[in-house]
Amino acid sequence: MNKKARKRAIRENLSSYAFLTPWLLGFFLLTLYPMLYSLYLSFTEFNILQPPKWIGLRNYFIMFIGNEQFPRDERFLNSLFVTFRFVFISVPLKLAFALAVAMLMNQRLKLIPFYRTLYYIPTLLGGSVAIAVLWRRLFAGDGVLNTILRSAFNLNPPAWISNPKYALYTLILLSVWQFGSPMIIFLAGLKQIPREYYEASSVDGAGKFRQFFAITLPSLSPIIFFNLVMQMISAFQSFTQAYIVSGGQGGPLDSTMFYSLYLYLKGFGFSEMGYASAMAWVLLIIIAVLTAVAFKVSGSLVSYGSGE
Amino acid sequence: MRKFVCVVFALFMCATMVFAQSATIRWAYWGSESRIKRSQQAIDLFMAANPGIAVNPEVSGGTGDHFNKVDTQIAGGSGPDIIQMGGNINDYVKKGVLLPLDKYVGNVLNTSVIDPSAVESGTLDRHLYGVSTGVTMPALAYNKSLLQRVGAPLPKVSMTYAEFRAYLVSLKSKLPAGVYPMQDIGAFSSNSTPFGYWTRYNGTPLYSAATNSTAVTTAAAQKYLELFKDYRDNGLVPPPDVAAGFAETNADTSMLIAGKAAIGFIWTNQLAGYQATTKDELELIEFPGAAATKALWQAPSQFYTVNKYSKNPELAVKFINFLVNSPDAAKVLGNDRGASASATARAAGSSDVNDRKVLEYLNVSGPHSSRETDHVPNDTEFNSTLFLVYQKVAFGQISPAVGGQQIYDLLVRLIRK
Repeated sequence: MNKKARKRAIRENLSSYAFLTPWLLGFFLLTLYPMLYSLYLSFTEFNILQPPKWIGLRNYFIMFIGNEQFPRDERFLNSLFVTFRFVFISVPLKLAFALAVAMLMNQRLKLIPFYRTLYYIPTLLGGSVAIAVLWRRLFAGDGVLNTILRSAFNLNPPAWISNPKYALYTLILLSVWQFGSPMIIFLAGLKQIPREYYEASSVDGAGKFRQFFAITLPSLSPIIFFNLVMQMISAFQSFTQAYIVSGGQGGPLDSTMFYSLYLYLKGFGFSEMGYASAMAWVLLIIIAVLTAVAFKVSGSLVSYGSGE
Repeated sequence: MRKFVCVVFALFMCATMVFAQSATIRWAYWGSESRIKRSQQAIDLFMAANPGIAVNPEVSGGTGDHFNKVDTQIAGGSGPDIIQMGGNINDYVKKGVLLPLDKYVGNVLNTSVIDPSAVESGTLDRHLYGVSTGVTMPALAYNKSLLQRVGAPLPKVSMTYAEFRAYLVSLKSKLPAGVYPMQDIGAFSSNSTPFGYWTRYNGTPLYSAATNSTAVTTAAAQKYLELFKDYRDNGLVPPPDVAAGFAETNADTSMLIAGKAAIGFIWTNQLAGYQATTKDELELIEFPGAAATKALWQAPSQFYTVNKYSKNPELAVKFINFLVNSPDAAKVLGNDRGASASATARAAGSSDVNDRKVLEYLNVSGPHSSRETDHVPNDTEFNSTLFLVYQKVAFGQISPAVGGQQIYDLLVRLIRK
């Protein structure tokens, strides 16, 4: 009896592993193995076409320290700087915008489902090459925006996309414009807030502003936090927009040289796959640290509502 | 159920047999619209004459994308059979990914009708790795129709730098606002060619493989940056943010073709392709100062090379032989990948007006040229970083002196790498 039971347990286990196999295979072969291999590569010099050569920590050394023989990679530091600027400007703007639109969408109007779909469309399109090309046309020196500014307001605007002072902001705008997915999540969060809170507070004489800061924001805080972390992670990995808008160059003047774009250029353009792998690991560490910091800070700011 | 499985299996076997019979050659190259059309015509001719062989083109818009793609494919073990190479062929020979073609010479590949200099250009370490697609030369193209519309005089083919500058100044006064006498030919993603020309003109060539060194000095590089700073400050080339609006990777992203500049830099083999994208008529002139210094050069435009891991190397070489030697192919390919170096291909003749313009240009400029300078190792990185330094100067972020220093440091680093 005991034997039989054990046999059955084993068989059950086996069959569950069998069902898991496709996922496990994918995980080991397509995720874990490449990740570990890239960790190994990050300590090598690897030009893609010849076997990698072990060089210890040199790739990391070149990124941050550098010396006479292996000068520090200034373009790397610049790309880091550009990416941080992009993340810290675009993510808060995007969240604020998404929340504002979500609050508009949370009203009981007739065509609300239609509007919700409409406002989600940029998110579906935003990552596409076509939109990046469109952005180029919009903000080019003789693009749509400038043509309007010139003819309607008689201004002499700069070439937004090819001016190093403004190029990054056009990409930030593009990112903010894709506010759809945080908006949907905010909207779901807003629906969860009990109406009684608002009714009770208005009886007590609280205005719209007071309600927003005293009820909406605290109740939404877990969702804001979730959106913040997700958006931050994806913003750090932005690639397509910069690649297309800058023609793969990260220009002008490396002003849109995002971290992942430089990683790509290093790996595939300059054939320094070892260095590119090291960059990937540095990015992983940066994102992990920032996420950890966000969680730490959030402890005092986020209320999950069931604590009392 | 069993019957169904049998049928599927039988179908599968049939499919594999069909695949086994026909061989597919994958041909990776870069180019714009007109090259794609011409290449497809050549493929069609070849496939019609060789049933059972299929040729699949894999096209990228520019060199950067082309090599990124090819590198990745090769690393993943699925590289194309025929790879179009440029000046970076040495880098790829060193990496050991190209097939030596020596054993096909004389049987599949007829090199006896190809100019010896062209064969030599594809020979490295005494092995033939690349078959030259033809000869090309750097040139300046000007928009003749635009100049005629504004009533400006047409430029002479050969000028000194002083004459050239004076000509640009005279153009400036005639052109409407927003149209510039010349492209900023340093602000190119492939700017090592204009810079390479200028260093030859200056007597300080970029690189010598024999001594593994550069003759460029900090002062020389600074002088180059100052030359263009002068043009920029005087409105002879566009301001940096206008220039940066044009990627200049092919005709579709060219400031010259957009009608915003009267003069631009192209290779002679690109003339037909560029001409095809505009109604305005283009003409060729030399880089300034070539007559006195012989600083121009004839270069193998590109090479057809074969992937070392190709499963059908012989068929690939057969197709290459067709592309370079067949008069039929020559007729459809024209000058697009350079003026053919093969006698049998040239015998096909050409009635194309662009081909004639190129020929005229080669006749004048041939005597104003000398042996090509060796390519700087790590060509792609050189172009990309040179572009960045040049832009920093153009945007006024650093002085030409600092820029000169950075270019020098870059060259030294890439040569040592």
